[in-house]
Amino acid sequence: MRMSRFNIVSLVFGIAFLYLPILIVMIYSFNASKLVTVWGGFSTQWYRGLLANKPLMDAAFVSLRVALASALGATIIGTMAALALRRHRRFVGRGLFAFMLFVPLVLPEIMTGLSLLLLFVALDWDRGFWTITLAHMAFTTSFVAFIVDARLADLDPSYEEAARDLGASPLSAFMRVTLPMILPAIAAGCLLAFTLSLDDLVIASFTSGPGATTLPMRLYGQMRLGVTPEINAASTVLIVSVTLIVIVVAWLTRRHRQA
Amino acid sequence: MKIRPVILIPFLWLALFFLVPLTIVVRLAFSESAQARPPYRPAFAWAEGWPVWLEKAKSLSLGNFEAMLEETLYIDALLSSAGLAATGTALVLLIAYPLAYAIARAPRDRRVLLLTLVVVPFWTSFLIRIYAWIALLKPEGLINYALKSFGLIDAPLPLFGNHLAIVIGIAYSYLPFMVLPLYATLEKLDWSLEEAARDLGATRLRAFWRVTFPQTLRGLIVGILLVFVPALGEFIIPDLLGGSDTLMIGKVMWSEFFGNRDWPMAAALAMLLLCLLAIPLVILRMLEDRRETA
Amino acid sequence: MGTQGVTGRPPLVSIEHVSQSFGSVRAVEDVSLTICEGEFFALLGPSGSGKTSLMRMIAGFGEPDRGRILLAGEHVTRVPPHKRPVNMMFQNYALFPHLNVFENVAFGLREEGVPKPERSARVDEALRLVQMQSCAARRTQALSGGQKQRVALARAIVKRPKLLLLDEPLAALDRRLREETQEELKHLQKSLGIAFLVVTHDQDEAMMMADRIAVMSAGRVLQIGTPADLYERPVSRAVARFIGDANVIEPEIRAHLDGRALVAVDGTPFEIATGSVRDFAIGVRPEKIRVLEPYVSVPGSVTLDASVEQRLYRGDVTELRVRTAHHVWRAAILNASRRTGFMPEPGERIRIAFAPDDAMVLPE
Repeated sequence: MRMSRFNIVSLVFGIAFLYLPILIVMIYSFNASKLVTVWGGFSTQWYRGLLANKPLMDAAFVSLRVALASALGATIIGTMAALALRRHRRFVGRGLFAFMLFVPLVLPEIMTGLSLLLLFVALDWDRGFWTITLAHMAFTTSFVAFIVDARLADLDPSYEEAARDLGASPLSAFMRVTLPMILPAIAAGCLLAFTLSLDDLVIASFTSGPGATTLPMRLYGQMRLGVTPEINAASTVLIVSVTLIVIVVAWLTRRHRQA
Repeated sequence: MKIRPVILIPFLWLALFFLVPLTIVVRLAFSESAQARPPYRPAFAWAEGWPVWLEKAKSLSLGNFEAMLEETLYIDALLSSAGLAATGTALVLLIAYPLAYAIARAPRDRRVLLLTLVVVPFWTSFLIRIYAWIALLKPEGLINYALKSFGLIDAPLPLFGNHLAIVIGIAYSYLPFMVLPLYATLEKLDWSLEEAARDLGATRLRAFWRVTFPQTLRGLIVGILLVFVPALGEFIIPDLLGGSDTLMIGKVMWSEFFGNRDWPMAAALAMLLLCLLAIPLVILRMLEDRRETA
Repeated sequence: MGTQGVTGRPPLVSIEHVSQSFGSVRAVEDVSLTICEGEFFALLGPSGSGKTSLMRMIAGFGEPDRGRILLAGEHVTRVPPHKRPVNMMFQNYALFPHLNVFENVAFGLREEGVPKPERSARVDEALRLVQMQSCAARRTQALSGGQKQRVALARAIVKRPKLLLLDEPLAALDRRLREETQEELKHLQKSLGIAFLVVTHDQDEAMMMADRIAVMSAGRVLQIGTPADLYERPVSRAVARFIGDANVIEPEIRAHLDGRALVAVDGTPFEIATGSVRDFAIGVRPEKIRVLEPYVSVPGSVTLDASVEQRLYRGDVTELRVRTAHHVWRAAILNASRRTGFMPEPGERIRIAFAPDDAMVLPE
């Protein structure tokens, strides 16, 4: 199919629009000069400064731990929720269940953050690492459920039927045939939950406490003061590392491409 | 009815982390602000039980809601949010539709690559991508600098700290949410219908408008809802890219909560926002149901 | 109705007055039939006839609302699929994509708990039977359609089921492959001695492969019999039309006497044996109609004047559509007999003739 000129222009413009800001940040992280508009020569000084920046490093470490823990929890609960929804057509409260599961996908973060903080206050829990983790779990579960649910919808039921026909009990058929087939979707959901957690500012601001400052919170504080090269450097590191993770996971799941 | 753990566990989780917080927000919205920790006097205590709640319901403090209607700030913020979210959504559509169309028309083996290209920026930090626009849009930022050095302008264009910046920010951040649903419907399209229209005498543009476009309405509506609803409550974009006179309800809520320490007010605003959001969400739900029975 | 097996062997599957509905749709309506051990049986019918629903109930997917199913004398109506000695070859093969060919075939044996060495041996044997032994380590995505089918077959037969179900096994294959596969399936079934139940909408397939066929329509069984039974002695207009071609004519019934009836078609009277049937239609297969020049007479045959409306050349036969006084007939002439026989042009006046014995009595 030949592509019309209009289509090619749309593609180029669209993709350039998407990548321009990212590239700017990355390029200017190597700018020796502090100003955006002046190129002072290539330099990695800001990167060296990063490692020495203790509050930033601590925050990064916190973010990582929160992301790992919450992604794990969200994946488990989200997958369960998707399975519950897709494989059981009738149970008490199914409509409410689906509503509660998918509404957070579009709810503004500020609402989620506010309501969760109020929950923790009502329960009289100290805010810190665990409240952020639980809060992140709460909102990323819906994303995992969405992805796994989409995969389950596409799944041909004849695979599991064939397994049962060959002598597998329903549980065994699920574990040996269905689960391996939806594993890439579960992995994708887990990755999504991880990056959403890593990236979150609003919910973390509401639900964190002393000693549990996340990287976005730290960066945000500095961003309000203006554009600085340190932020550029930190941003570039984040961009590159997340992109690498995505590429690696995509490559790993490629081998299990199926019908 | 068997109690299956695979249903029960997520159900309990969702009830605890979605329903319960919601009821707390409702309770808080009817409470009064106070110098206390936490900074409010609750409208009713949990331990009091149903009968007392019903009693108190008759004389609820609607102070927060009255204040909302009296102070033009809140209504303005709401209207402004709706306007900005709508404009942002329109801009997203303008960029996303040709992009999704181009990808759907691209050779089959390229499509996945192109989609990945569109989605990968989404994986990188939202905060950073908005921050990047600061560098681009500021009076002394790159765009003005480039325009100036090409001699196209004398004074820097006001691209930052205003409504325009917010609209651009929204369009930029929510692009994948519009591209993906549109692409999903475009990809399944039978292109021979458009060709048939052109065979019957329609120009390319008219064939698109009268044949292809109506078929993509479903994806379009999903995309609009996925962009408009979260954009309404956006905080980061107006905070980083907007100015002191750009109002968005998300920002107002944040400042009520953290700045004024007026938790009940923030809760009341949240309830208002929720009511507003309920409209598009109900529409989305109806469309989903219709799609599943079709 | 032909419930006795052609092989003369004992019954294996007994379906007794089985009905199944999905909401307001009656998928299967009071079906009873018997499949014997070692038999090649076919369920034949168009889509929506209930054949697939019936097969799935035999496999254990879906329960009948009424009636019962017996397998080797035991009630299996409510037994789940993994406990039945029945295996299925799915229409889309359903090969597990995350396992290779060997692992796919071994799947059922692993579920049974068969120890590794025996498992290995049986898988090898099954693969050899379907001629796929060299592909044991391949991933299923790399196989062609025909190869996938063999693996699916091997996977089912390795478990030595009492009954093998095949869901539209030839539907996805091209013509040449279809014919080869038909022969191979028939051959395989004979050598394994397992009963096969094939579900198909293609009557040629059913006729070529099956020992007995059950013709289904709208959830009911119309007739059960050998291919010859169904072709030569259909019990109804529907079956006559479904299996092969037939000219179905409503005759003028003039008299009944002693198991015979006097009828007239296009004014020409003749006698046929009807048994105890009072009301019926007549069916004549196109190839049983002789096409003759206008004034030829054939004693003992029913002869009718006709004119040719249309002629269709079909390679091995030529089909003629001819019109008599009150009916339109289809006749088929073997092109090999062209040189010796008579081949009219469209528009020509001719005579058609058929033997009264070739007229099939169709009561329904």
